[in-house]
Amino acid sequence: MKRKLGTHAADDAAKAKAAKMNKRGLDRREMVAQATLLALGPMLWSRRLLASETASADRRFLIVMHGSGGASIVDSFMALASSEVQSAGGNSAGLNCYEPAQLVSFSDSPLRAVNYQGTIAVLGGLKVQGNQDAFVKKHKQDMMVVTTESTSVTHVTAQKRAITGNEAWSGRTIQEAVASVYGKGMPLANLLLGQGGYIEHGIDTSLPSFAKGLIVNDPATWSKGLSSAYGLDEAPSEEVMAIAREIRDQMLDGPSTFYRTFKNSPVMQNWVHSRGDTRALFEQSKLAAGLDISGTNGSAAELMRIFPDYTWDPYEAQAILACMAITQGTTCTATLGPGFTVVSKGGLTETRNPPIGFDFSHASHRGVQALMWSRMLSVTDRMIEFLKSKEYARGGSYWDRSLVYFATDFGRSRVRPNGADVFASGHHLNNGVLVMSPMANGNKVLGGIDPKTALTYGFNPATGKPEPGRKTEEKDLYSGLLQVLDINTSAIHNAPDMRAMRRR
Amino acid sequence: MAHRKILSIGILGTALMLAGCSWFKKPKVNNNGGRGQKQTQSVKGTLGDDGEPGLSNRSNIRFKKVYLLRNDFARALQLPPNQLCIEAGKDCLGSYNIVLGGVDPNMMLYERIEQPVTTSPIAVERIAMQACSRRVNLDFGGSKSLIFADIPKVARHLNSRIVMLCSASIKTFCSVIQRMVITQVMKNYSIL
Repeated sequence: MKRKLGTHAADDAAKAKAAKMNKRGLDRREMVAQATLLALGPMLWSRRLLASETASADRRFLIVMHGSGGASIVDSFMALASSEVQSAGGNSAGLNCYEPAQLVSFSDSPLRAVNYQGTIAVLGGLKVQGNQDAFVKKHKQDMMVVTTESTSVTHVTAQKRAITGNEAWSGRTIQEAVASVYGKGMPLANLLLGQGGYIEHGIDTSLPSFAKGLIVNDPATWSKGLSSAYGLDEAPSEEVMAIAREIRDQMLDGPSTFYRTFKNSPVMQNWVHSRGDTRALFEQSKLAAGLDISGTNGSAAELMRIFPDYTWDPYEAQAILACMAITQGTTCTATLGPGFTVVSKGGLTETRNPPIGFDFSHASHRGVQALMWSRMLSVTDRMIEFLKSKEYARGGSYWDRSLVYFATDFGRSRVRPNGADVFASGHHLNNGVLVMSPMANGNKVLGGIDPKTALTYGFNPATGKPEPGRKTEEKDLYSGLLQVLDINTSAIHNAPDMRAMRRR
Repeated sequence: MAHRKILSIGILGTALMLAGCSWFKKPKVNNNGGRGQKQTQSVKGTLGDDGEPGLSNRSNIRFKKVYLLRNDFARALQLPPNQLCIEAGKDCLGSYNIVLGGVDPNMMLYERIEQPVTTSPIAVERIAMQACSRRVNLDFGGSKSLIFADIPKVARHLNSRIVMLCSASIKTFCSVIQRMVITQVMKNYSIL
């Protein structure tokens, strides 16, 4: 009863205040007080933020680099030579395997590279030069291939499972899991720049709100939306804005029927909090300016030189935003990747991204795989170089604390007709993924491939020894990746200890 | 004049950020005794803008679709919907489409987010600010004034209390906003 009365009293006081405001508006003293509060609020909050940030500054960073449509491991780092298939008694003319001239092996690495040169007829005879060997030579110590067997050949479903480990952790995505551990105190802990199932939210209701991903659909301009006035020539002064916000909150919103009816709604409360405290924090931290892809922003200018095609290639714009967000302490996980839409600077023969990305392998398998792998490796190489060049506050570089997970939907079918070099492929559950990190068990292929079928098989989670007949499931990969990032996976039911994925 | 312009942009812009009026879609109330009405608890006191205040226990509010929001802003400011705000030479609603509850088939996002995200209200503020800046520029720029046309007259004859009472009988929120904003602009001219 007391509580009820108290509530009514508070309501009455609020009503009286609102009525008072309605009657005479704002006087000078109130304006000053409100403006001061507005100015001080974010500063106070920032101090708290800084404290929590200091406490968890031993961060790790996850970059989910998605290859939508099926990035095939047998067309990259586990490619087979036709001679290997023949030696094993297989039919090299009927399997997707490469001629010796197209395949590069390394004496000091189990990884392979495909150097494919050809054309994609359905893209107007687009010439493809997919040389993967330079990338492997340069980064092999940080490259780890993990064989996989997924559970869906439907794109969005498979994509979602690739980031949730098929709902391994109550439906929490790997980005959310990382953000919940390393993202506390970060304004945009989980940045989702990519597409499809890779940027869907998880379904774990216990997830802290700061770990929920923010979807970015236009990386080149999106960051401006982190401030209500950044970059606007005719924006009023902060003082005028403070008065206007006061009028809005106290005189328009406060007494409105809508607000009074729904003020108890969590959605409404979050809205009010976001447009107040959160906006103030963002603006005080100058987030919009820091993440603005423009020449006036120093860190952006450097990245614009590294990714000069950002104006017409959204993947490069994503890379710029991801690099800035990570190195500015804004984000601990970024998801990016080439999309399903065509990217071309000019006509068909200048296509950089075919329609439906890797999935255009339905039309021309090898050319598309080579084109898309080159595209992803090129962006990744430049991102790694940038992260290596930026020192982390606790020592080492940002790259020393980063992991790139080349998530993909599924593999591609292994058959080809009569030794053809140009052929089409379908979806296949069997595949493998590339993981890159100084914290991963680098220069390794975990698992193996059967040269008679070109299908991959799994490995012993403890030793990494290949085990024919064993499959690396989505949950195993999900757990292993989190363990590489030093995240406790005990919340995952029957999570295996994927010791083999961690650097010894 | 410049001071007035800046002040006007600020007041009008932030007024348009009105969450209650512009952002959320009010669920339809069943006037024949539907569930929504049954669970609505009446509250005595100051009347709201339509004279029917109440506290919803269900608090079932929904995210207004981005294009409805755009059209509301465009109608309130009498601007073409695709010229409310421009970022990098493009309609900025494209930049903030997802955070404003839109969908994007190119991203394979076929379902809109159910609730606003942290950056949603900030994007709304930014759009309002740009749109209002355009309106003010037009009104003060020599062309025929629409929203700020009658400011001197309004200043002499209206105050916020009259507007609040008038607003109770005005059905569309856009009209309410326009009238309230004009009054507040005038009030704060004298304050500053």
